[in-house]
Amino acid sequence: MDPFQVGSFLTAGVLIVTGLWAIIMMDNLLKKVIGANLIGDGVNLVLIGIGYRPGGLVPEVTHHFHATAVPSTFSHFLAFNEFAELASYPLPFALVLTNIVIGASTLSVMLALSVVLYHKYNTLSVQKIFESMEED
Amino acid sequence: MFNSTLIPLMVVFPLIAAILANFLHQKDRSVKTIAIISSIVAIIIPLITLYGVHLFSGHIRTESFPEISKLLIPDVYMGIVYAYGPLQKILLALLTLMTVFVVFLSINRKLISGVYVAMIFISLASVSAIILTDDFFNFFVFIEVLTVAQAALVIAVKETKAHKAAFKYMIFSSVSGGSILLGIALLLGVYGLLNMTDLSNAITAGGALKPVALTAIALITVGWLYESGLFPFHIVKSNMYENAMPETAALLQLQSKFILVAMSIALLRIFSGYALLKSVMLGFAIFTVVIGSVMALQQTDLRKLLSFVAVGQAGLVAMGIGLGTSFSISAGIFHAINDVLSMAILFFVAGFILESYKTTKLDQLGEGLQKAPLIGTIMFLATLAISGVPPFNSYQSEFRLIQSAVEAGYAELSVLVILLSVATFIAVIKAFYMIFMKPSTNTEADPKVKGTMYKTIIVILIAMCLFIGLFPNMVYDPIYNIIVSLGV
Repeated sequence: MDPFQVGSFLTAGVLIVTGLWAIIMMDNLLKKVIGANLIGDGVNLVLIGIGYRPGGLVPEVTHHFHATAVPSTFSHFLAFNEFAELASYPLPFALVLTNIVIGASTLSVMLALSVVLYHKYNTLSVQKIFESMEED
Repeated sequence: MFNSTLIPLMVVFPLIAAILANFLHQKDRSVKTIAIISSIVAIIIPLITLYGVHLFSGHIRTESFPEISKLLIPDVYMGIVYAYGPLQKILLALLTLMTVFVVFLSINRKLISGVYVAMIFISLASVSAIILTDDFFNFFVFIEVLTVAQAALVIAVKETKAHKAAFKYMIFSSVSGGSILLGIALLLGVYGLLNMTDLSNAITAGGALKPVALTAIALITVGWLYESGLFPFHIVKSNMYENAMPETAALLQLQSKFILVAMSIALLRIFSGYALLKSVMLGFAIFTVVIGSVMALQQTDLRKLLSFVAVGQAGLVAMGIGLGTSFSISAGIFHAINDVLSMAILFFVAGFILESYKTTKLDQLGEGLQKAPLIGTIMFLATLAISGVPPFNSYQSEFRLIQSAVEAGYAELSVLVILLSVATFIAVIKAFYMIFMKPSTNTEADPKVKGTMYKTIIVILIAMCLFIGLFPNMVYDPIYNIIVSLGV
């Protein structure tokens, strides 16, 4: 495993654990929301680490590869075998992109709910907000 | 393989309807028209669609070059695949039918709002995609979309309690969603695949599971527990049900049970050789059954009571699946179908009670049978149905669950099924007595509320319960055949 990948996975682990800690231990609504977001970021980093290949080609740049190319005749094209061995794995990057969009929408709903609860209780303390559950 | 072009319409059409309804927000007449037309079309699509698979972008199965790609199987699906068979047809027909009922009730209660209708259709599209898809990441995406739609449906109640429930649900969902995606990422890292069929083949070809794959199973199982509303996340789900409008709660509990079924089948297909998974499923299912029924017995509010009954029944579905034989899994899925029908009737009755009396607190209600005899009679019949009394549908599925538990060598679980039925009967019949037979209290029913739509819908549903009870094989046989063919 490449040092970049090791670093990515370690950082992702730290992000996920920090996110979980914020959700479980912190009393502030917004900190919980940030914690939830950190978990998503950590998972994204794991996906990026999986797709990374040291010195790999960017697969989206299609001129690297032609299905019928022979390297000797088309010097700027790679044969499929060479391309497959050199290119980074593109799928995880597409997944990360989708997950960022999903994360943004869930984050916006959570923030909107935090605003509503803050206006109602005039506090961001989860303990105070959820203690008054019986009064509602 | 038949590449049916109508299959993706089951997801795409509700999404288009949602966009239109959202665009026309505050133009009530237009939203109503869109909602009615879309509902009729949505219910027709699963019925006329032919069985088959849909390959997105037309990507057929492609050579995987194992020596270069390190993939363990010689050919793979390059795009997202949707599969539509008899099981999907039954689930989607029921899902669209219930969604249509909820849309009609919302229109009838003047709850019509572009965003609200949009969220109902988005939730329909999401669950349809979850049932149809053979791609793990697509599965995850629609689970996340569904979470937002469900939270929005609860927020629409505009009560602080509902906002709190939705906030809790969103926070837990972010953990569960992260857990599922991390599991998917690990599987992608180990096997390089996202298609469930391919993953299943690759795992079989790869022999013993690697520790990373085992971690992936654990992470996805945590997500499965949350999305299905099983122990220890039952409180979050039941909190959502009780704070939503009762008719929306009927839809939410249906969606949760269908996700439970879809996700269980996916897990069992992919990790069919991993016996511990079934034991873990069974263990959590037993806890859910016990806790759901005990909590239901303690409630004094109809909505809370029904929420815990729904949780307990979800445990029963998971128990059938966790037993792990073809017979028990089929019985579990059959019970999910039966249970959502009976639970929907009870939630719709709760909706009528709430609209009529403005409360669902049992101690404030009484003498309802004189005011709404039809509603009372059908609630009594639904109580019998959900408790597994013949000739209703749940009897057929619970009987099969008991048989399958005995056949699988877990005779003691059959006692648990019977105990759950008894506890459910006691909890719901107590509510029936308090609402319809107890001497009257000061709470007066609103004379303007006729409840014609509620009455029509619950009559249709109880007729369906009776029909399935009398002719169970029409539903059960296709399920059993599919489960046997999947080899889970």
